[in-house]
Amino acid sequence: MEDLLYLIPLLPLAAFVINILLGRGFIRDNAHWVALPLVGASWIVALLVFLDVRDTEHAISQHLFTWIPAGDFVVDVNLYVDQLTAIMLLVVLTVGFLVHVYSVGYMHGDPGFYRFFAYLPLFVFSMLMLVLADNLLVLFVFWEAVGLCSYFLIGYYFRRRSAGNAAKKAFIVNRVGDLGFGLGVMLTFWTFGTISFYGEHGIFEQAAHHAELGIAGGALTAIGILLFIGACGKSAQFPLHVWLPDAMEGPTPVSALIHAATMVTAGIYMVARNYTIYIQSESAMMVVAIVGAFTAFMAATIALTQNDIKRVVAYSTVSQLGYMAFALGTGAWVAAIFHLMTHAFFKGLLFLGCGSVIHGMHEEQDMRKMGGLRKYMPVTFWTFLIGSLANAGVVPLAGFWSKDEIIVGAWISDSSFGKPAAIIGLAAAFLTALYMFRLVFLVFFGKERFDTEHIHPHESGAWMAIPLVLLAIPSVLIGFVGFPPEDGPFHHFLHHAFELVEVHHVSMTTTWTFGIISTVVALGGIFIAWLAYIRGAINPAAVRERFEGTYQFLYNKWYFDELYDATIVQPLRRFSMFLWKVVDEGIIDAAVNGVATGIAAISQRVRHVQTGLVANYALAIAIGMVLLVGVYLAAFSDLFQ
Amino acid sequence: MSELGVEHFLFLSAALFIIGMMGLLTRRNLLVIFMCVELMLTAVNISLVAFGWETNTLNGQAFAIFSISIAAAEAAVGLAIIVALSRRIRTVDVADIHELKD
Amino acid sequence: MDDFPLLSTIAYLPLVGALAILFAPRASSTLPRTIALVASLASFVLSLVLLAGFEHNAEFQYTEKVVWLDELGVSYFMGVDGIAVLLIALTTLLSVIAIWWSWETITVRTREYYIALLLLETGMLGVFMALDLFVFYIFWEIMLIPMALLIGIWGSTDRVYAAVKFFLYTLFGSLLMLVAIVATYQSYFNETGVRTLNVLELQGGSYGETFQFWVFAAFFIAFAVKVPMFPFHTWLPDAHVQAPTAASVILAAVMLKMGGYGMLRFNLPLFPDGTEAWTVAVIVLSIIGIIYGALVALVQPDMKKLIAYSSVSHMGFVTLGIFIMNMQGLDGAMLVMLAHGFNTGALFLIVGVIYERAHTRDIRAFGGMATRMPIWSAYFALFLFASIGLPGLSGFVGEFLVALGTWDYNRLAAVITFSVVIFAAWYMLWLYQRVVFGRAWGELPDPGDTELTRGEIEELAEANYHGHLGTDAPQPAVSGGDHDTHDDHDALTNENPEEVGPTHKGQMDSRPWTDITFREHLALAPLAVLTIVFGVYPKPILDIVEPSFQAILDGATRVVGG
Repeated sequence: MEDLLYLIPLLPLAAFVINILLGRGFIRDNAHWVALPLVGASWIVALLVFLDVRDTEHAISQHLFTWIPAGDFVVDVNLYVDQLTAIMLLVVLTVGFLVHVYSVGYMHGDPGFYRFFAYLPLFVFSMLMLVLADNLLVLFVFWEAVGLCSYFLIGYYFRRRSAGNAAKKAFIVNRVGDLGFGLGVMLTFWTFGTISFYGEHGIFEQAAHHAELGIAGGALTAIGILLFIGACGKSAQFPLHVWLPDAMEGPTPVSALIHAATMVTAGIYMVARNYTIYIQSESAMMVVAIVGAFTAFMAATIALTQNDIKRVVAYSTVSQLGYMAFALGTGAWVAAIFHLMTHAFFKGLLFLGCGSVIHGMHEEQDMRKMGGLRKYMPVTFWTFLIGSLANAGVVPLAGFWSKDEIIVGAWISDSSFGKPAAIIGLAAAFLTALYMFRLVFLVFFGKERFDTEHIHPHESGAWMAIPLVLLAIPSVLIGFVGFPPEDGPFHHFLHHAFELVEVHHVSMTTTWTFGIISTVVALGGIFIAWLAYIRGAINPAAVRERFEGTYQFLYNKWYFDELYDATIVQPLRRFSMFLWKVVDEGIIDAAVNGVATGIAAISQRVRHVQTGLVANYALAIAIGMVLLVGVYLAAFSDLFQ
Repeated sequence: MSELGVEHFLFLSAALFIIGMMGLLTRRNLLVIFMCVELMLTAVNISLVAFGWETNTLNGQAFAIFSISIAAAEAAVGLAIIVALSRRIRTVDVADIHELKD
Repeated sequence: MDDFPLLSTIAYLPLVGALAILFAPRASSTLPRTIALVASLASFVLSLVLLAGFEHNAEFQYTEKVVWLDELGVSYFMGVDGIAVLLIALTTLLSVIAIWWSWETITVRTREYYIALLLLETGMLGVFMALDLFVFYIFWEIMLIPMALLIGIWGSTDRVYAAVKFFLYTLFGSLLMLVAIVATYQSYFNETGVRTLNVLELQGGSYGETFQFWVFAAFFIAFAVKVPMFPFHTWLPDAHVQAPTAASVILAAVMLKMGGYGMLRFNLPLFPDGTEAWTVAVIVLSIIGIIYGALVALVQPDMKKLIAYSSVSHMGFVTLGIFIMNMQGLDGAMLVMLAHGFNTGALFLIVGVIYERAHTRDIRAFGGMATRMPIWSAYFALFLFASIGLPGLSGFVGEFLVALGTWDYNRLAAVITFSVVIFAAWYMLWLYQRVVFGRAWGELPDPGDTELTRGEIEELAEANYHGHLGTDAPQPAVSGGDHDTHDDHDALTNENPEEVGPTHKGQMDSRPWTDITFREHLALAPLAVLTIVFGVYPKPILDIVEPSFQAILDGATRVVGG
């Protein structure tokens, strides 16, 4: 199996190369016939690799080539598949392939069809390489590469100014995270002398025995925090979460694949991959947990007030990523990956559902102008409902199992932040149910709030409906791979990837208690949404009036954009302007030009000596001659002595 | 009356040279200036011949002849320039010729 | 075959070409450029032969030594090591591209133009080959004049100012270097009684610490001006903005590398004590330059100026990498030099493309080029991302290695240095968004674009008309086919760029926007391939330079340690 690993990333890369080079001239609207088979074939290889890893319980790897040999800093490009990677491969390729299928319908007739089907496989390739990387720098490379794909796909509708802005913002905010990541790579190298994960001298082996090797614990903490800054950027954690909601400017399949299911989970994956470093450092774990819990809560509150259907789901994504982050921070590694997987399916489903709604509503995204769509688009409705229930964490759908496990994991963890995190998690779970069903009720129930004369919502075609159904199945069922909690096949499988983690024994009572609490909380959220938007017992408008200040605060996303603009962007631009106009042109250049002008001014005066009269010159020659001879006679001859 | 010595020739040469130079500095007619330059050259030639006579070698004379032939060439070129210039700007007064100034 | 003077052949082929153009019949307009192309192409092919035959060790190879002025110890001594051989290949490649690019864009004084370009190429190649300071200095000065002429004669509106500024700045440095060369020569003579200007022999001398301090500074300033290093950089934006495209390319891609090369070849091996004394100052200035260049690039309205300031930032990595004195830093500096050669060279070509079509470089005058020139936009994106150090493209490896090496030197320095990745992304993406994304002025949005309603478009047009936005103001139509850059309508000379607007609202831009032509493809494609290849597989480059760097490091550690 080792020898075939390279096929997994190569096939999507081939699709990209073919479509980008030939798409414009030859392939055009048939670009999906290049991308679909190749990505599908990659999925099959990945499945074989997955089965191989499952059966042998051994990680497999393949050496491709040596990338950078700079002194003792040697970077190889190797592909490495352990249990964690195997799961990520399947998640990426399954959702990736279904999104490809969906896009055939969604992007139909778009003038940039071939371009879309070039970027999408490129993204899949980069994401696969990201999870296949066996050292930090290669991971970093594809970390940035997925950011590049994200940039192009967010800016896909480049003629809109807002799309361009969102793409730029996403890339730059991610770069802030990448700065942390890159510095983390450097510190790793100078701490361990290598950046390879595995092997006898790999960073994990050394980190696990750092005390004996004389590596300071502080360095591990610093590495952990620097890497997590990177994760904050990619996985949209506070304070770098601001780009993700704007990223919804991209086509909806992109939002589903990149900005919900896969790319944004790269940060979670990366922290999980480096768990050996994190478990050595309580402070680094604490940072991860606090940031994650805060993000989970904050994003959920914002999602309550948004009116754009995609933005609600986007903030939901930020919130769910926060769950994963605090699961990592409280040591519930398997639970985090479990949630990553279930979330990939149900959030991918939700976004594709959003796309179907938007498509059916002729590009309308404002929920206030929808309503009653249940009868117009039944497939979308039912699948969306499944996704929402899974997201809200209702038994027995996928989201319930993983979210419950995160909350239990936090509660029983040794971390001093564990119990507060669990409580914040429950609060956020309530909000999740509330905003998800606010969305469902506003969009699919009630009366039509659009102009029924002119807008005729319609169900999407087969290309789009089939992926919805196919994603709804795992959204219902995938949770059972984690059943019974803490002891399911999923846990046994992943156990090998997290060998150093102590497995906590969870009593049946705790499991049941939290299971019931979670369910009650989720149903409570749904009930309140029902009261407000179906039954009408609570008047949302009145609530809003009552808490106008809070509402504005949440509606404006806690004013993060304004804050960054006022404290970072504008001052920096002004400072740059100052550097250019004052320092560069005003001081340095003025000094240079000043010297030139000064010399010119002196020359201007001296040139009057040149009278142009031959007699004057002759006189000057004569006087000079006399002086020279005089000096000679006075100094060197004995004439006057 | 003492014997004729090299210093007499040198005094003559110096006198001619200074006369030539004064003319060069004070006169404004190009032709006169040119003649003054010739006078100065002659002064130098005299001193060269005088030294040759003194040391009883032919070096001085050889130099003098060389310098006279150069002076002839120079006179030819110089006069040609003066003629060309006077045709162009209709004057031989150096005060009016200041093309180089600007 | 061993005695075949390959280096001299490579260096003088362009000169021979220049002489041939001089004697070519004046009437023919195609002959000069054909001769120039053939000469530079031959030189390029031979430089590939050179590269292929180069053995991976620290020795100077292909040496040629002819005694020239024996009494003065001057000999014609040429030879290349791993550093030089790569820069020679870069030079010949970029020269071919520059000449090919000028094919149709230069219409005035073509003979003189190609003579200047070829002379410049000879000068540049000689600089990289010379191992005798006398010969080095001659080539160094030979290079200066054609470049000043290229800027001063074929440049844009303010060309003479830029050319003079370039000339004086560089001459100032050169003269300091001349003094330093004489001082080194004399000092070596005083010590050993041998008169020589052979660099390899001079390396064996031991110079006093104070002497090294000052002579190092003199050499360093000469090279720092060329790099250009903050605060000697202000000639660069002017020179780049005014220079014709091909000259900009050569300037950015090759001439800036002279500075880094000179430091590697002379400052480090000759004056280890001086290096030690100046290291901190150089590193601080480099880091200031890196951040400063990026920040100033952030607010430039002129594309070429933006790229010029980004060069200041990138070249800061080169000096930084050289002076932190470890293998990662040196490797990184070399890769940054080469990558900057490809990327920035290509970016100037990219700007040249639309300058030739629109006759302005004002970023505010563009928008929506992705619709009009999709292939151009794709090339632009590639080089732009390479320039901001996207991994997988050539810019990343070098910058990362330099930052990595810097971390070992000083952590804070590394943090500040690496933070430039944010600013680099910022200014480049800002540029890309303004020029390539969005809609061109007056263009209506696509049907189904939810962003703007009809009324908002009216408003926008109104605001544009009154100059409130100023961001989308297009240029007045310029008669097509006018390639003479002498009296173009340069928006930058206008005091109020906002006023350069349409005369009536809703005016559509009717200029033809031809996408990349075949000629332009031929110039850009090799650079595109190289930037990808060396991003993915930089190992060959590192294999070639590493022995030379090891020698430099050994020399430095030997003296510093002892």
